[in-house]
This record gives sequence, C-alpha cells and structure tokens, in this order.
Amino acid sequence: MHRKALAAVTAASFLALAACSSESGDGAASAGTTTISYAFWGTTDEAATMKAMIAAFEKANPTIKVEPNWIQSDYEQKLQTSIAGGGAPTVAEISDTSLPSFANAFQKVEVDKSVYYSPAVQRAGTFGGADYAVPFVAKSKVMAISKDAFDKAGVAVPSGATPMTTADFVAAAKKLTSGSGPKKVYGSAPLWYDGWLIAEGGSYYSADGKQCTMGNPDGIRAAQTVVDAVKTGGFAPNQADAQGQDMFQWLADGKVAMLPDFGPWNIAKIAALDTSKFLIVPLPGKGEPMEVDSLGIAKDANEAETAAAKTFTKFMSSTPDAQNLLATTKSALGIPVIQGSLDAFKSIAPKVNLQAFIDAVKNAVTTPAVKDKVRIESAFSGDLNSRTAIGSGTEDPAVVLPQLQAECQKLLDAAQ
Amino acid sequence: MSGIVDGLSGFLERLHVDEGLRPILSLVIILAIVFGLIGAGLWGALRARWISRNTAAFWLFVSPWIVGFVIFTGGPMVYSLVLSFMDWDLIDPAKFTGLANYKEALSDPKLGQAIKVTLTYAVVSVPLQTLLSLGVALLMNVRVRGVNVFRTIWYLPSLVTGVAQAVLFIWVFHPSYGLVNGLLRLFGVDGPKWLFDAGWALPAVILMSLWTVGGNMIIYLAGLQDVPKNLYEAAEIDGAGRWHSLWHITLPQVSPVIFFNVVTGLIGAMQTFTQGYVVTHNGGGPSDSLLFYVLYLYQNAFSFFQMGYASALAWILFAMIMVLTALVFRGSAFWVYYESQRPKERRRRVHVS
Repeated sequence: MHRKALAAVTAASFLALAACSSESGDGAASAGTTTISYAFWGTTDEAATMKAMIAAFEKANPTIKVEPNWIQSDYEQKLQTSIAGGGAPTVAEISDTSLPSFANAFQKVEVDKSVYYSPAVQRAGTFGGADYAVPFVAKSKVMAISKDAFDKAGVAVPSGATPMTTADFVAAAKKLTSGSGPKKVYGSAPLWYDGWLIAEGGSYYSADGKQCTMGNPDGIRAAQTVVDAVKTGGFAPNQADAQGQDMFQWLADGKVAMLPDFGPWNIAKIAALDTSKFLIVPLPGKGEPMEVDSLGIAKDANEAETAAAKTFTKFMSSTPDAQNLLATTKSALGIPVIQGSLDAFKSIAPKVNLQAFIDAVKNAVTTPAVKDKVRIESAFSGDLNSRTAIGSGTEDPAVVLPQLQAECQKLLDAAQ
Repeated sequence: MSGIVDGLSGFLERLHVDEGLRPILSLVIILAIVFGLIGAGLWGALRARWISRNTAAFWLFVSPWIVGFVIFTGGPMVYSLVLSFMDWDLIDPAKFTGLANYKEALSDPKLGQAIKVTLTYAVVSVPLQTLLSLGVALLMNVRVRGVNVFRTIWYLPSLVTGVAQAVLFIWVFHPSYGLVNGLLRLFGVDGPKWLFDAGWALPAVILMSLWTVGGNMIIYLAGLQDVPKNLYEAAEIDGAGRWHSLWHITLPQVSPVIFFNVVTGLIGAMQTFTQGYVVTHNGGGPSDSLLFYVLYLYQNAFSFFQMGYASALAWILFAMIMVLTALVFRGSAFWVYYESQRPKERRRRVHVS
C-alpha cells in the first residue's frame, strides 16, 4: 500500500515537472487562434460598451480571441500588482496622466498619428520622447447649462462655440443664483480647483514638467474663485451640501443652472432628458484638462500575442467600426478620436450641441507628463483642502499656495 | 510560482480540461504534490526509524497549517522585510537602498500625524468600547422577562461592519442631511460639520466604533455567566452590597475577559483602515485628521507605488504593536485575576524580571 502511494506521488511529481518544463499554452495558437487579454476600467455601462467593441473586433478578426478583464475599482493598483506578479494583461487601457508610471511595463509602439484630428490626442501615448500606448478615446470636459434658468434670470445664453471668460462666468453665476434654504437655486455646481486652474490659464507644472507653478497669480486667482463660490451667499453649494449629491440631477431638477466639469459619462443621461431645455457649451477660459485613454501592450507578451495586440489596438483606435461604438444613447465612454466617427457621435443628441465636446478635444490644454504625479498632487491637494476653504480650512489661498508650490517643487526635484 | 501555475495550466489545456477549471485544478495538483512529498518524507523517516509513529502523525496533521502559514503568512512577511530595504515601484526592478526607508520614516511628518491619529483613536476608543460593552453586558445579565430580545437588539448592529458601517455613518454624520445634526436641530443646536471638520472628524469615527460593541458584549456576557454564584451568596451573607459585589467579585472574575478584549481591541485599533479609507475616499480627511497608520501605509503602497517604504512602515507598525501588547501584558499583572495564579506572585515576578 505504502509503496503504491509513494509511486503515485512520484508519478504526480514527474507529471507536474513535465508540465512545468513544457511550453506554456498562454496566447499560443489553438487551432490557429491567438488569445490576448485586455484590462480596462469603467462602470457597468462603460464595460458593456467596451465588450461591444471587443465583439466587433473578434467579428472582424476571427483568428484573435480577446479575453476581457474588467476591473471595476482601484484599476491602477490592480494593474500594477498584476504586472508585479507576472500576470500582466496583454493589452491594458491607460490614461495619459498615468502613463509615466506604467511606461516601463509597456512595449514601445508605432502610432500612426495621421489618423487623429487632435494634436492633444496625438501626444497622449508619448512619454520621454517615445510612444508607449495607442490613444483610442478622448474624455474632454464641457459645461452643461439649463436654458430655462438663463431665460428666467434674463441672462443671455452662452455661445455654443466660443468660451465665456472666467469673469463672465462668475458674473452670470451670481445673477443666476436666487432663493434661500432648501429652495435655493445655485448659479453653478461646485468648481473643481484642478479644472478651474486650467480655465484661469494656470497649470500644476511648467511646460517642461520641471517646475511647479500652481502658486502663480493664475493659480491663486483660481483658488480664490473656487473659495468665493462656496462662501455663505455664494453661487455654488458648499462641500458639505454637495457631498453625496448627484449634480447632474440638480441640473435636471433646476437646482443648479450651470454644470461645469461635464464629462462624456453624462452624455447618455442628457440625451435622455428633454434636450430642448439644455445646452452644452465650452468651459470658460481655457477649459479643463482632458484625459485621453490609450492602449499599452505588455512588455512580456510573446511574438504571437504582440502581433495580435497590435491588430487589436489598431482596430480600437482607428476604425469606425470600433470608434462609432464609443458613445451611444445608452452609454458614452468618451469622444471618438478619428474624424470619420464624429458625425455618428453628434447624432446621439443633436439638439444639445455635442460639437462642444469635439471642440474641447481639438483645443484641449495638455499637462506635461510627470513621474510621481499621484504622490505630488495627492500631497498638494490634501494640504490645499485642509488649509483653505476649498476644503475644510480657513487660510488665505494667496498665502498657502506659494508655500505648497515650494513643497511641490521639493517632491518634483526628488522624483527627477 | 506563476511559471509553475502557467505550466500546469498549459498541461491541462493539452488534456482538453475546461478552461474555467484549470486554475483550481492547478492549485489542487500543486497541493497534492506538496502534501504527497510531505507524506512520502514522513513515511521514509518512519521506515528508517528516525521518528516514531506518533511524531509522524503529529507532523502529518499539523502540516496543512504549516504549509498555509509558510505560503500565506511567513513567506510574505519575509518578502516584505526584504522589500523594506529596497526601492520598488512594482514595475521597475527593485533597488537595494539599505536603511533609507527607515530613515525616511523618521523624518516623515505625515507618518508622525498617522501615528498620532492612530494612537489617539486606540487610546480613546478601546476604553470607551470596553466600558460600554461591559456596562451593557451587566445590564443584559439581569434576569428579566424579554432580556433575550434586548440582547439580540444590542448585538444586531455588530452584523453591519466594515464598509457598510462606514457608508452608513457618512450619512448619519452628514452636516446638512444627517441624522445626528437633524436631531440636534430639533433642540435648537446647530451641529458641527463632523467628518468635514478637522476637530470633529476623529471623534465622529470614535463614536462610530461604538456601533459594534454588541460583539464584545456577547463575550462579556459569557464571562459574567461563568462567575460562580456561590461567591455572590458568600458576599451577601457577609453584608456586601451590589457595588461591593461588582468591584470585589464580578470585575476580578471577568478581568481575564476584559484583558482579552483590551488586547485584541488595541491590536485592531492600531490596524484601523476601513473607516479612514471609506470615509475620506482614501484621502486622510480634513487636515489629515483621519490619516490612520494603515491607510497611510496603503497609500504609499498602492497610490504612490512606494512598495519598499510601505513595507518598512508595516514593520514599524509590527514593532509598535509588539511593544504596546507587551506593555499591556506586563500591566495585566496588576489588574487581571486568574484563579490559578495569585496577583501578588505575578506582580513580584514582574518586578524581579
């Protein structure tokens, strides 16, 4: 009996060793099919959009199978740990802001920049002078307004093509604010400091990414506007009042007149409303920073997987079959990055001026790629919120911002 | 390890095993091989008469725990200790940096804040939880009609813990729409901003921690019901009142249970994470007033991708918890009563050593 058991164990060991030493089946051709994995984030609706794009790809390329890896939360953490654990997805979605941290995990790729209509999109997959990812979707920001609120307040409806100045925006927001208590109508939803910084002409970093610049006059002016907006009697709900609230619903219910920081994820929702009552216009000033998501190919992908991944990224980024699926009346992942899909995009909600999203993609201000960005901006944002009325503090932004800029510079120098 | 799993997965693919079953079957095969090798080794040692049958049986039965510990606890601990001397962002190769991470910790102001928040939370919440849960247990130990209903009511909140509890209390403490400020407004009191106020955020989370006292209450209740009745009868004959019985019989008798709850509560409080993470959306709260130690560790590991520094922080926390637990154990000689050991002897032993 014991001998038989020992023999069985030995046989199992040899079997396993044989399995380990033999070639792995990962991504290998199985009846001529190559399998690649693809990691992405998003809501349930956005994941459905992505899966529809995958299905369109598999239909057009029957010899390549794409295994979707939908990561619902903490995407970057999970992607990074999977890379560290040797289980990197063959293709991973990555935002332009996160690319510097992940570039070393991706292969260098050749990007045909002539397919993109926006210079900002053309640069989105580039880090350190090389292309590491293929851009496939833009997430520009615009502003949604309630035409009813403007009519009631006797304020002229803003242009759908030309941005208001930031000063005009503040003046309009004040005029649109009325009432008090639970029935108060706010001129605007709360302003997002990082976005308003760009709108005012400022930025976190200098163009070469070597200097922190948020303490400059533009940055201070942006902070002052955000603080003034939520003061008692201000034109936007404060942090406590807005916490946990859906500002889109406030716009739909007439509780706010303008909704800056209006991203593509709201397109399907606004399309479902009475679109004659709402309008999409450009964000004031220079607009808000735009996120562009790209597709990176894992460094450790084998030859067959790399070839399949390149076919996949090309399909996703440059064919109308994929790009037309990016936004529908059910869900919008973002704005198409190729000219040929823009008419289909605009047809989702013809009355609300989706052209503003496209203009924002074309005119987007891009921020330089900086290593350790998350740490630097997390420290800055935490301190800014703690010390000034942008969050829970009371200090004057004009005093705080230059100090935080100096702290930022120390971290930036250390990262470089 | 992933190479072995990949190899086995490929092997099972060639055997046309269903794709969904391959990962679990790979694990089963690996475990079978590991335990097979252990069994074969023990059998060989037994045949060679190096060990007795009892010893072989002992190692065989204890082996699942040992294998689990080595793979899931001991191994990662050793790995994190090694990482604490490295600079590693999970993507680029790790670089040896010696004691740099520990030196950085000494001069990191955020770490100082995290230690302050965590110790304040532990020092305030653990005694409060102990007092409240023991007090409730004493009430629930009174034999009255329907007491089981009250016991159930007190225990029920303990079933809503972690993320669900934190989300619930975000709304309870909401300055504008929350239950607490709504109640205060009925009495004409304008409540604080709670989680939005640097001065009130930690007290709010400490109050939140009292939500789950029902769990400890059950343990105290079990301890109270184990106190021999004859002690109370003897005290009553000697003329002791309720207060004297509580002070001289009940508390000494349940002191080992209090000790257990304080030690586990203290260790748990030092490892607080969920409340800080959920309530502040991984931010640390106003003025970092909710920057718990483990939250800061997590941020370094998974937001800033400083795995080496995070590992060093983990080992510093381990040392802190060891020291605190040792202090509580030492202090227990002065207030924990065991029938098998006289407190005076234990105190003497503490002083001698």
